[in-house]
Amino acid sequence: MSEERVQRILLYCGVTGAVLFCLAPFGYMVLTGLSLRPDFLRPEIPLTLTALNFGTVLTDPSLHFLAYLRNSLVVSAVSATVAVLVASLAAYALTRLEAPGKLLILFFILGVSLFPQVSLVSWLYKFMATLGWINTLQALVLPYVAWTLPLAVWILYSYFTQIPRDLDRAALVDGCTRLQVLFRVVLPVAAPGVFSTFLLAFIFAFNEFLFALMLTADYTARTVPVGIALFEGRHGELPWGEIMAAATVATLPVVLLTLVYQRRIVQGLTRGAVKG
Amino acid sequence: MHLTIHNCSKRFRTLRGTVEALREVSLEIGDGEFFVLLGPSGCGKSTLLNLVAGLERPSSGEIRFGETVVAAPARRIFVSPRQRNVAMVFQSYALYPHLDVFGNIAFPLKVAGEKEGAVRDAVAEAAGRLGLGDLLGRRPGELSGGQRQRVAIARALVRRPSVFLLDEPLSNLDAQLRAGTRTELKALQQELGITTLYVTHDQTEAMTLGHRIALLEEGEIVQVGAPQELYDAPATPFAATFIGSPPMNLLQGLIIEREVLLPGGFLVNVPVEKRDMEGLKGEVLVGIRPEHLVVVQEKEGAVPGTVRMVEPLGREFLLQIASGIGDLQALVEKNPPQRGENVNLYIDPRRVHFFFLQA
Repeated sequence: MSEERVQRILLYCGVTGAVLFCLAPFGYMVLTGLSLRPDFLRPEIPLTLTALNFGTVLTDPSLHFLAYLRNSLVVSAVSATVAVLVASLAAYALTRLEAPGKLLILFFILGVSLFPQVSLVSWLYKFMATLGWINTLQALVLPYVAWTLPLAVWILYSYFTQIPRDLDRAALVDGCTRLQVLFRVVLPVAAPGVFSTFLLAFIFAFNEFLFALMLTADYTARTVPVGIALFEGRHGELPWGEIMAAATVATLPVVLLTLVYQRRIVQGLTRGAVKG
Repeated sequence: MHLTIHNCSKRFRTLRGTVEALREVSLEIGDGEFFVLLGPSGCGKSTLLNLVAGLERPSSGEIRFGETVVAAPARRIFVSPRQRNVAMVFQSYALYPHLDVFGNIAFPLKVAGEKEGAVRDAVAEAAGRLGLGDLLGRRPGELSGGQRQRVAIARALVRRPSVFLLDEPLSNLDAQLRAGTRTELKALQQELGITTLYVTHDQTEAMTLGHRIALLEEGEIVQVGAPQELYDAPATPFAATFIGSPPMNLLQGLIIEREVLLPGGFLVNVPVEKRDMEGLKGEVLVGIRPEHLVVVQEKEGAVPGTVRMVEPLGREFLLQIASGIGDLQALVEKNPPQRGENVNLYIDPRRVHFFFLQA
């Protein structure tokens, strides 16, 4: 067998392994959500596929799953949008203006994100209680924006530095103000970076558990991760089928978002802008 | 638009200290003039262009567009680029990659808030003028270098700028395309009559395009004049060697009364019209262009030399000659001597340039 053949086989084995490793829990989740008696696939219980759990999750008003989903989507979309907007202003300034100590600012921003969430949550609770924001959506949006900003600034910074300065200069001469340069040239050209940043911020907010657990009380503001974790069965047992069905539904928005933006993310960054 | 640059200096602060990119530069550029800023890289020509565009602020001095002062740091006046109505073509083209050709050309008009119909007409006109009519739907990534260059020029011309700025626009094109685009650019400028400031390091471009040329060296203007003036009467040795290809031969000389003593003991008469030049004494640099060195038969009064190399240039031949007064380059039109052949060179005193070394 030639060396290349061995390499190819090893490559496929590795890829298959990695994909299985990543997707197996996901498949397990879907399967459990679909089974009539979700007893962790014990072989002696025959697997019967049913959509019952999904039906319950989506229609049972006592579970409030749709309310959780709505809260999650609103909180994630708003915080990701705000984070990207603010971060792009910061990243643009950091890449384009001759500010002294630019690197220092960047590392300071990074340092802020190193605080463990747990160390902040009690203080955050007091803060939100004083504002009267406990159990509101904005109580989650505000910390999520703050929490995702450092990462967003760093990602956008690296994308913005790749955009040739001549584009800025051309836009300035063509009559743009600095803000117009950002919104009409830099952001559209860095669209792949902007979308990936948005997606990351969105996923972070969508998955966040601790803040959501502490700062919400019921379905008016509770998000999906907390909601699912606090699902209660009618007879005291854990309703695994419904939990898994709910988790499956909850992954859909992120998967859809990634699929929609995938083309944009892989698109070449500045193809044809400048020579070379 | 008449353009005035008065005593402009530009200093950059860097980690290694202050760099003076421009020193007390003054220029007057007439309405509709094609003015070329020529110089080697790092001479400050692009900085000067950026000052006119408003992309940089001068450290001192004043810039006027017609009667309007657009930059005067002493009086805290600075007009932003968008209010100057200038257009610029960049060496890198700097096209907007997310817009198609139409979007690129239309960009300045859309930013200015022009009406849809007016934008379409203006873009069609500019695109037609540069032969881009069929490419309006393409993205910059799908265009060749020459086409991108045309888009950049069309974008610059679409809103009738009062000043047209070009920063080495041809240096990314291959040689053939460059010559063609050069001719078109000159025709376009003559037709539109827009005051044009053109930056280049290529003396051929400068000579062929400019009504006038300003030669810059290390942030200072060496000489300003029409191309032929710069060629016929270079002000400094730098001007003499930078303009003209192959460059002028320069030799160390010593003025003795009415003659110049060259290395190897050769004497050249100082022509009558140059005898009353001030300071005509002591050490001097003697310059003679390669086409003014004549290969002659008679030895009397000529400089002997040996041909080291013959380079055919098509229309003429370039000779590298080791002579009694130093290494020389000479151009002959026909019947070139062979390599290794001994030749006699006649130096026409009327064609000789003298550059006095600063005491």
